[in-house]
Amino acid sequence: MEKNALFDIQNLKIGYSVKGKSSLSVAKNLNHQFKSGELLALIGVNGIGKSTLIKTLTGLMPALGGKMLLKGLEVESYTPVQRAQLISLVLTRKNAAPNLLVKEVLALGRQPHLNWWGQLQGEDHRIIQEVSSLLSLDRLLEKNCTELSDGQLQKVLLGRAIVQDTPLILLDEPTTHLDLEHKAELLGLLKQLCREKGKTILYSTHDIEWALEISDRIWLMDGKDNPVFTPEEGIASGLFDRLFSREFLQFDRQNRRFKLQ
Amino acid sequence: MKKAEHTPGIRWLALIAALVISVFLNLGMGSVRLSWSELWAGGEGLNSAQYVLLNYRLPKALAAICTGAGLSLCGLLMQTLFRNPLAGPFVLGISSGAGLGAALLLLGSSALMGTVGAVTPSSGLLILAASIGSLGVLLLVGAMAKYVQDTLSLLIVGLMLGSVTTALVGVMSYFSSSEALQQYIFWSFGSLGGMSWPQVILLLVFTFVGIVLALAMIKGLDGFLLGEDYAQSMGISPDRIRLGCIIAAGLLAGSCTAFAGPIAFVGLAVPHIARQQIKEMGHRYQIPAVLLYGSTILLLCDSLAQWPGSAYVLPINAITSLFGAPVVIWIVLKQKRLRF
Repeated sequence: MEKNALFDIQNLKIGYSVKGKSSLSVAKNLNHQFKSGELLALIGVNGIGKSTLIKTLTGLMPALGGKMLLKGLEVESYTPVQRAQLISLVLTRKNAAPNLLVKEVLALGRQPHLNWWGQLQGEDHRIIQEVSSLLSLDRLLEKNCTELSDGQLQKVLLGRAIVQDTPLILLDEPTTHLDLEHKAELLGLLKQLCREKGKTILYSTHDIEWALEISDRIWLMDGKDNPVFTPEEGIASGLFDRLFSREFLQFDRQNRRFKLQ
Repeated sequence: MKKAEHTPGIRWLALIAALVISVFLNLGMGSVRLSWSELWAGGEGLNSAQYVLLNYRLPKALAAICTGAGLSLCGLLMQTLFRNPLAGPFVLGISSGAGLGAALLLLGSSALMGTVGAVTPSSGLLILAASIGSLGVLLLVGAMAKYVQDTLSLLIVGLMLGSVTTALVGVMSYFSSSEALQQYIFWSFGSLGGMSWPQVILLLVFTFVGIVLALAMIKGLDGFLLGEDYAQSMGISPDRIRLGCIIAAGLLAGSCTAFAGPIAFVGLAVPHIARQQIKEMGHRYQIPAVLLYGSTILLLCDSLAQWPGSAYVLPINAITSLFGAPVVIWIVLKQKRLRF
């Protein structure tokens, strides 16, 4: 047993604060100890606070309450750059593709490790090269991101996060907009990163069936106690039977699928 | 891309060569023809050709370089900050602030005191008034940037401030004498000529400081190209970059407009030309590119304004748009759309 978990979330309360005066709580009672090499899927209905949680964990939004311990220390005690060396982020693609070459996007991942001028050194080039071949991006390096397909772009953005070389990677709905083949490829990559590189990965998703298949644990944001469980525990306890309140959607325990009645 | 790829080094060399050629072309253009033999002639003091070159053409060429480079860099910073291809030096209202300063001096006195009060201010006084105007708007935008959380709100605040200053100028124009109005219109044509050496050196210093500030933010600016959230997740403080951009843009656009009057088109269009020509979008490439393209283009525009043999000098503000806008339209048609 590790004495300090990599990332320990205790009784976290998330939401929006307006200049310290009033605050709008989105979710509370969030607890989880991230373990090394863990692939964790974050599920929950739209608007329950998945993106808010990811932004809070990354430090883009302040927490409204509770504790976040990174390697045993409060997150507030880290500088933004130190934090960026431990947690990297892949966001939902809402706006247009960045007007940057693929190799430039990957290189941006090295930022937290570089000085103010941001000149890449030999080691940085080696890491970028390694990630590029891991994700088979070699042929795309000289291309502009605006020329890429959705699947290619999502891989490039994941690549940037891997280049950032952090033990923790958080992804906000990485499989949205992707077709089945690219979904499978991306999730397979996440699994591979956890198994082979010992990364700890949290990704939010609406593809519950995929999450049951590949993730080690599932974090369900249900607006109450937000339980974390393994796919088997979740199925056995009947959590998925009650997940959707509409009677035309039923969970088939045998095949681990949702069915239309 | 089907066309042959040049090695990057050659492209940069060509850019620098184009700048040098433009400088010589610009120095050679003017109402009087300068001959080589006269320029090289030795002897006591300066002959007329040397005098014209040293005290008129050279400051003007330097002013063109500073203004072209400064406005283009300002445009690049604004486009990166607001992630908007239509952003330019004018979006924060800093240039209109300079206009307001100039108008207060040229039109204000006449509007308040009638034709009797109309003065013909020196160029130094005009620069001072324009600087105070742009500084005022800059401080206002900077103060508001502390209260607005996101970059888009800042854009709207800047545009509104610009509208207010333009409206104030409009009101003053309505009440001022035709002589004062004519002076203001002449200022708004823009002019690179007629600057004294101390004024040019001051402009050089402001431009230099603006460039250094932009270079110091190079990492953060690159991060902004992925969006503020990504930048922040990589340890960059968006607030600091936002403030840095406002200050740099204020120094660059404010000083250029104060010294040379409003010059349209350059700040908006040059970053697009650079992006179309240079494949790498990182700021370590794009900043040098806009500086080189911007100064070269403004030198060429100024040379056109000074068509040789003719005594007329066309307004630089009109030339930049007249010759620049078709270039941008051509790029858009060729490229189908402007990448951003």
